[in-house]
Amino acid sequence: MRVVPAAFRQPQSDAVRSTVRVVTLALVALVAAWCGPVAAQAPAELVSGTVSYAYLPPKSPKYVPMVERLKAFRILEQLSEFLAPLRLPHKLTLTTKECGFVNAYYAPSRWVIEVCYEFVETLERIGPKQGETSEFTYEEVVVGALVGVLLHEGGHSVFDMLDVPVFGREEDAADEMSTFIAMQFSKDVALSIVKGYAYITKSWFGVSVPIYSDEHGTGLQRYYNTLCIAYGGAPDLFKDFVAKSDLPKERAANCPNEYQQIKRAFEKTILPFVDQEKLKKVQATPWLQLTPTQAAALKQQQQAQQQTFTFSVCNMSKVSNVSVALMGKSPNDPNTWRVVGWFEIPDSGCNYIGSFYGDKIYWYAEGSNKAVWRAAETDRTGSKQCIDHAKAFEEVGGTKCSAGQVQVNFRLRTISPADVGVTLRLN
Amino acid sequence: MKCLDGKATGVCVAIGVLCSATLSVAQIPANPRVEIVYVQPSNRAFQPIYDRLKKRQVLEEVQRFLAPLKLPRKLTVKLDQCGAQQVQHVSQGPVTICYELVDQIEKVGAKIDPAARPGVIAGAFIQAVLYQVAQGVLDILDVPVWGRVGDASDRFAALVMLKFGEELAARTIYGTSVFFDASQHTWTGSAFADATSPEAQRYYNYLCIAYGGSPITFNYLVTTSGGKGPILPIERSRRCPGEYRQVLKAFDMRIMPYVDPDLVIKVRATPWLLPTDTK
Repeated sequence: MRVVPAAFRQPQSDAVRSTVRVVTLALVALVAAWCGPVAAQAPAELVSGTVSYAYLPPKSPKYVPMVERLKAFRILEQLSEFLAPLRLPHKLTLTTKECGFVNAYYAPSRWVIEVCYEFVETLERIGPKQGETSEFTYEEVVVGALVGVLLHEGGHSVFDMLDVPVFGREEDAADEMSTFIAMQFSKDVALSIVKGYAYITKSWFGVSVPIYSDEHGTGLQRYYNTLCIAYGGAPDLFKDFVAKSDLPKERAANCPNEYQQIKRAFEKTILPFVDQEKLKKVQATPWLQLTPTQAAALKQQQQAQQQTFTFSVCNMSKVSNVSVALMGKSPNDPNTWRVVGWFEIPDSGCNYIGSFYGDKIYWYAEGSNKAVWRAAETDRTGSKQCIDHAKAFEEVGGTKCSAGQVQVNFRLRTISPADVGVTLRLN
Repeated sequence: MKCLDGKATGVCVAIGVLCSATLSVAQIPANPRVEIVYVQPSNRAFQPIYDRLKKRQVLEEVQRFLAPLKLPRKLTVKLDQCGAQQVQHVSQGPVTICYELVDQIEKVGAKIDPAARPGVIAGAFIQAVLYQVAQGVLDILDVPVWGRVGDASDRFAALVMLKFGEELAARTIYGTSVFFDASQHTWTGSAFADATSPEAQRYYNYLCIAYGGSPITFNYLVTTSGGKGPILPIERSRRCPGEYRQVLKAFDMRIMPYVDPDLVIKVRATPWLLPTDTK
């Protein structure tokens, strides 16, 4: 079996998988990350005595600016304030750290929530480019989705710490918690979080081949569930957003009932642990309002991401056992072309390959019965590069072929400036 | 114990699951809060199914099986023609097992090894009944449900399947898994908006609860053979004990307070599905 080399190895389709479990009120805390001055206005009563935090220093220098930014936003401090209304039976620790993988998770054995710098980095990278869509803003995806994910993890931690009975699948329950909590704040906050979460479940988690054995639902299931709960709880606020989606009428008709089901579950199992006075203060705080400085910082990040795009490959052909080799530039090393193989593409399915820099990518594919996709030898837009049929390989573009390698002409795919997510379909 | 007509047809066996121990079952009182209805199908193709199920008194057995449950109001369980294999449960409404689903179960059964056929049909039929009843019970008892109700009902049903002995657990889980595995339904795009989960997902959900609750009986789900990987991928199977404990906790907290402990012992002691029923 071919092995995907380390370079370009990207997060799994559902970065929220594994552990992720935060605290419901993480929303506000995360929001606070982007609104320092507002955080300073938080009532003193919201200072939590049960939540500690730490910004762990990253190993990679590239994350140092991100850590400084998160500290400046006081994200963990704010999260602890946001959690103040919740009477937790254990001390909870919040950390940001470099993980070596893309995730945010709650570790029940340690009562710790950890947000990986890689996860924040990915959100910043997949956010919509300027002019790409009028449906989602960059702020909604970076801030709203991050808060939504933290609320998801918060759901896990609340279920664990408060010993909440969960009849359904816990990952769906955590998604429900995330959306439900988002709905309890201002319209702007609700819209931002729901839209951000919908964006990543559809455009990130939803582009991979469904893994039915996974404890998570598929990306599209999570996307429709999020839409349904939001629409069911606030039909006027979300009717336009839902109208632009393809949520079937049959499902939409039952969404108010689905929202009520979650509301009843929250009232019966979580609300008894919430300090009502503190909750009112949290709800009254204008979270998610960016200062001009923070808005400018986000704008800068968006511009920095303009030249990156995500790349997925789908096998729509009748050829089986398809593998792809690529030549592209990593966002972490935008001056170097690297040739990497192999990425396995499921039969009749897709694989999310990763993020790349620039406006070009070169690719080559092959499958069973000697099927190949490549540029013609005379195609000068292509790029002749070396591949190794026998094993995974990774090298700088243009390197002379070594023993066992052969040269093939990779096809060019030009990326338009508006393309943030490119899907190559092999027919 | 043989089915009354002596035939080893799918419906007969499915009914046999419930009627096999008629003499013992008869000693258990029917739940007075459970009302049953056999609705005459308008589609004549379903008439034989209607006739057989009614003759075998399948729903009457369900009434007895649910005897320990102390319901605050009436629960109607009906067999009906739905126009689809299942209909969405409406709060305070009846739970419905559709003739279309029974028909599909028999069609799936007809395609498999004759030796395994009776057990598969029986297991899948019991799953259909327990799944529907679970939705009604969660509703009537106003149980707080985190997660999708359909999935919660599947976990509820899987848990119940494990509570009646190793043999019955093995048969019902196996029948359920074969039925879901045989689905030809392709899920793409907005199909994922359905309130019911994909058959392949439900397949793994049942197997996970089974392995989590009874790892010895269902050890074959996590073993490799013939160069093939385990049926339950290790990424999922390692979580199954936790998933089982989670649904068991929910059941103990929210359902058990409504269960008569003396009657539940009698129900559990009743041989609802004997080996001879599937011969």
